[in-house]
Amino acid sequence: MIMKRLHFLSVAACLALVTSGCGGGAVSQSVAGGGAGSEKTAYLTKTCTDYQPTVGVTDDTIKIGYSGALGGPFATVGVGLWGMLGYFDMVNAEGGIAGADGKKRKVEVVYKDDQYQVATTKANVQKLVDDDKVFALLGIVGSSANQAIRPIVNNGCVPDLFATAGAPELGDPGYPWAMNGPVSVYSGEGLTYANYLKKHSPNATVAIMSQHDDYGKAEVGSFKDGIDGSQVKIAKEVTFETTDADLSGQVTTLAATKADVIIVIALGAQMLQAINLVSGHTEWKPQIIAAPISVAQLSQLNPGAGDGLLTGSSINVDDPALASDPKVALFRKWVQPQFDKNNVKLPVSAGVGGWNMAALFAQSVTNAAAVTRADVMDAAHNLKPDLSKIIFIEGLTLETTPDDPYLVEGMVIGKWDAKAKTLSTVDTIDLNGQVKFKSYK
Amino acid sequence: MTLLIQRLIDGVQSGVLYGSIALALVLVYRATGLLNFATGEIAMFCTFIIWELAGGGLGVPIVVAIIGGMIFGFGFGAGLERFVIRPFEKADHLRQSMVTMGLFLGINALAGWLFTLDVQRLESPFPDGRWHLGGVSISYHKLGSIVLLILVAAGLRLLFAKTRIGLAMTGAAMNPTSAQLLGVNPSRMLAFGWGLSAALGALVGAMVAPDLFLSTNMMQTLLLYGMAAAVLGGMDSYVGALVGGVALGVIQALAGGYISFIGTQLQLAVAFAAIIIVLLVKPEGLFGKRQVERV
Amino acid sequence: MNTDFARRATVPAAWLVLLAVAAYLPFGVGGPTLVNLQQVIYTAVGVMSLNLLSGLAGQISIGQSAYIGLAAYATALLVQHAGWSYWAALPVAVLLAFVLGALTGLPALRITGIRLALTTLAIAIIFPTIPVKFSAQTGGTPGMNVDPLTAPASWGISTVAFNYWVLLAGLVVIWVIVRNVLDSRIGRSLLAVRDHQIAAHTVGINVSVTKVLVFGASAAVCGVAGWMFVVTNQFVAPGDFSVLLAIYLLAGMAIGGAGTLIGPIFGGLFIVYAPQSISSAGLSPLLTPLIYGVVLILILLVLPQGLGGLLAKLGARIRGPLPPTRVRPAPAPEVPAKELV
Repeated sequence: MIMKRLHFLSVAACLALVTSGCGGGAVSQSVAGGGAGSEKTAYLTKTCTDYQPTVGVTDDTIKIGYSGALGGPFATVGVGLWGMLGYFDMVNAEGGIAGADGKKRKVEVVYKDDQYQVATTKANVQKLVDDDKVFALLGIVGSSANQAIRPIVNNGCVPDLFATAGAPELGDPGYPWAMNGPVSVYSGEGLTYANYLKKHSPNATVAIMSQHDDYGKAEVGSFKDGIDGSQVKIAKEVTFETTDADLSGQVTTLAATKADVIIVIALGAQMLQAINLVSGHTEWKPQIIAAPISVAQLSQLNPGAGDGLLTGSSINVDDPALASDPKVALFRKWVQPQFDKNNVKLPVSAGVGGWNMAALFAQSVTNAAAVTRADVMDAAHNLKPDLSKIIFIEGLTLETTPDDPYLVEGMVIGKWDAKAKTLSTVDTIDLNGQVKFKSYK
Repeated sequence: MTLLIQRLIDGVQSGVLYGSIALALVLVYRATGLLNFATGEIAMFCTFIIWELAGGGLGVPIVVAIIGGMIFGFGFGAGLERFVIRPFEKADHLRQSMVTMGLFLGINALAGWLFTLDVQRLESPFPDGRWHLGGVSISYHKLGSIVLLILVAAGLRLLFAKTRIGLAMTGAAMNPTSAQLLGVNPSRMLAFGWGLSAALGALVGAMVAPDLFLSTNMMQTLLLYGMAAAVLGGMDSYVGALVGGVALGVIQALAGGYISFIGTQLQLAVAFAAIIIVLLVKPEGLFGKRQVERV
Repeated sequence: MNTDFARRATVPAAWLVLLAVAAYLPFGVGGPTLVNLQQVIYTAVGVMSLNLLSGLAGQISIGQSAYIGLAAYATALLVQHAGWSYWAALPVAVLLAFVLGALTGLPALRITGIRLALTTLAIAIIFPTIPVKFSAQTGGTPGMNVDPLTAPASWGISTVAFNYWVLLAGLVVIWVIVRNVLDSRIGRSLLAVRDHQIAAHTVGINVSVTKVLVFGASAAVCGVAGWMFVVTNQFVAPGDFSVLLAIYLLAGMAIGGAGTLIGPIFGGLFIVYAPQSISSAGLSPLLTPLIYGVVLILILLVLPQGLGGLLAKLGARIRGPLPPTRVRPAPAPEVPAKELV
C-alpha cells in the first residue's frame, strides 16, 4: 500500500514537472541559419548564429524586455523602468508606434527584477528571449550585466538597445547589437573634464578621487588621454570602494597636495559625502569638478558646501518653474502615475532616463526600413533624436552612426549656486564624433 | 607630522562609527547570545523616524527628534523581540540569526516603501564649524559624536555591572532558569535588551547620518565593519566594541595612507588581517572574557 | 515481498525516481528553465559545503562566497586566458579553494563559534576587491565572459542540456561523498572533535589538523560550486560573489534543514525560485524583499527542521525505525548550539 502510494506520487511529480515545461525540450542543438538581413544591415547580421528577424512583432503589437534592480538595496538603479512605462502608456494611448509599413503597434513591456545580480540578469534575459520571445531588450541596467549578456544578444541577434549604462565597452564594434542609452559615455566625460580644464585653467594641477571600478577607471583613463601633452597635470589620484563607509582619509591625502582642482567620480551618497568633505574637512579649497549629479541630490549638501562646483547639467523636471513647459508637463502627466502606482518614493526626475530610452526606441522603430531586428538596430545606429520627444538639455549634438554608436558625447557644464540651489550653464563641451571606442581596464 | 595627526583623527572618526554600531550588536549579543543581522537596518529605520520628525514636515528640533526616535526605537526593538523573535526562543542560533536576516530584508524594503529611496540630509545636533588645533581640525559634530558615544559605552558598562536591571539582564541571558528562580522574568529582559539595542541604534543613526547621508543603505557597510569591531573588542564588551572600532579605523587610515601597494584599495584586507592576528594571539578579543570549555 | 525490505527500499527508490525525473527534464523543458535549475544545483552544492562544516565541525561560516568566487575566477581565467579545458581546470579550482579554506580555517585552532564565523566574514568582504585590483586579467568590476563548456560535436546535443547533465552528475557525486563522509568512521571521529575536543585529543585524534582539514574540505566543495557557476553562467563578475551570497547560503541551509541530506536542494530551490515567484505575483517590486523576508521567517517558524527535516520525518514514518547498524550523525546544530552563531 505504501509502495503504491509512493509510486503514484512519483509518477504524478514526474508528469507535473515535464508538462510544466514550456513545450519542447532543450536537448537538440539549435540549427544555425534562419533569415538573413539585407545588404545594408550585413554589418549586424554577420554575428548571428540564429537570426530570427520578426520575433515578438505582430501587426499591432511589439514586445520588448527589461531587466534591472526593481527592489532591494539597489532599487534606485532600476527606476528608469517607470519612466519607460510612462512613455509607452502615452504612445499606446495614441495607438502605438508607427512603422514603415504604415501599421501602428502597441508596445508591451515584459520586465523582470534581477536585484542587480548579474547571474540573475543573464538568466532573466535568456528567459525574455527564449520564453517571452521579445523583439528587443531596452534599458538593461548595468555595465556588467550588459557585457554578460553579450553572447545571447550577439549570437541571437537581439537588439540590446539604449542600455542603462555608460560603459564605453557598449560601443565595441565587435558587438554591434548593444548600445549605450541616452546617458553620456564615461570615456566622453573624462575627455570633457580634460577639455574644459585645458580651455579654462591650462596650468591647473588636478587631484582625482574616483570609485575603484570600471566607472572610475574609464573616467580617469579618458581624462588622462585628454590632458596628454598639455600643461594640466595630475597631482595625485586616490580611489575608494563603494563599500567604504567614510571617505575622509582620501580627502586628507588629496588635501596634502594643495592641487588647484579636484575631480570627484562617485555616485549617490558617496558623491555628496565627498563634496561635503572637500568643502569642510580641511583648509584646502580647490575647484570641484563632480561627475554629473542632479539638482535634487546637490540640494542635500550641507549648507554652503559645494558652492561653485562644476558638473554635468540636465533639465530639472522637478523644478516647479518648469511645470508649464509642455514637454515636462507631458512627462509628469504620464510618469507620475507609474511612480504612484508602484509607490516609488523618488523625485520624478529619476524617470527621465527611461522616458528618453523609450522615445529613442520608438523613433528607431519608426525610422527602420522594416520592423525587423536588424533594421531597427540599424536605425538606432543612424539616429538623430527627435528633440521634441526626449527631455535633454540643449547644446549638444546628439547623433549615432555605425562607426560612432555613442549618442551622448560631451557635457553641458553647470555651476552650482549653493544658496539659490541652481545650476547655471557656464560652458558646453560638445565632443560629438570625438569619443573613440577604447576599453579602460 | 600634521598629516600624520590628521590621518589619526580620520581613523578615529571612522573608527567611532564602526564602534558605535558594534555597541548595538554587542548589546543584543549579550542579552540573547545572538548575532543580529538586522541591527543596522533597525538603526536606519529609527533614523528615518527622526528624519520624519525633524525634517519631514513636522519640524521638531533635532534633539527632540532624536529622543523621539530613540523612544520609538525602544518600542520597535522590544516589539520585534516580542512578536518575531520570541516564537524562536527554543530555536538554535542559526535559525534565530536567519530570522534576523529576514528582518534585515524586510525592514530595508519597508523603509524604502514608507519613507524614500532617495538620499537625504539629516541635521546634526551639534553646532556647525570645526575645532582647530595646530594644523589639524575636527568638526564639532564628529567631536560631539565621539564624546557622546564614549559616554554611552561607559553608561552601558555601568548599567550592566551595577544596576539591578542590568544584572538581571545579564543573569537572564547567562542562565534563564536560575534567573527565573530569583524572580527575574527572562522574556521581559530579552525584550528589554532588544529595545535598548534599537534605541542605541537610533542614536547611532543620528550620529552617522549627518556625515554619511541618510538612505535605506546607510548602515549596510557600517554593519560589516561593526561586526569586525565587535569581534576585535571581544564580542561581549562595550568598551571593547568602541576600542575595536577605533583600532580598525586607525589601522585602515594609516595602512591606506602610507603603504603604497595597499593604497586605498586593500586597506580593508589589512584591517581584517590585523583582526585575525589579534584573535590568534588573544582568542577572546581585546576585552572579551575567556571562553572556558568543559570536558 | 518482505515488508521490512519494502520499507527499507522505499526511500532509496524514491531517490532513484527523483533522479530519473531530473535526468529526463531536458527533454521536457526549455533552456531558461534548465539554466535556473543549474543555478539551483550550484547553490545546493554551496549549501552542502555549509552542512559539511556545521555537521562535522559544529561551525558556520560566512566566508563561503569567497571560496566559490576564487574557484570560479580560477576556472574562468584558466579556460579563457590559458586555454585549458573545463575538465582540467576543475581539480585546480577545487585545490585552490581547499588551500584558501584551510588557511582561513587556521583561526579555528584558537577560536570557535560566533567569533570564528565573523573572521570568515572578513574574507567574504575582502574577496570582491581582489579581482578589481587585477582588472587587466579579470576584467575588473564588469567581469569577464567565458566560452561555454560544449558537448563533443558528435553527440549532437545542446550546450545547455549538456551543462545541466554535467551539473546534475556533479551534484550526485558530491552528495554521495558528503553522505559517506558524514556516515564513515572519519566522520565519526570528526564528530568527536566537534562535540568533545579535549576528550577526542586524549583518544589520539589530532584535533588541530582535523579542524583545518574540515575547513579545507568544506571550501573544496565550494570550489566545485564555483566551477559549476562558470559552467552555468559562462562569466564571472565580483558582484556575484559578495557576502550576500554567503548569507543566502546560510538562509538556504536553515530553510532546507541543517544536517539533512536533501535539505540543500530545497535551500537551492528556495534561493533561486522564491524571489522570482514573489516578483511575478504582481505587487510593487519594491515589496519583493519584504515578502521574501516574511516567507523566510514563516518557513523557519513552521518547519523547525527545515523542509529536509519534514521530509526526513515523513521518510522515517514510511520506513519505520532505522536498523541499529546504521549510525547517522545527529542533526548538526542541535548539539553544539552554543558554538553556533
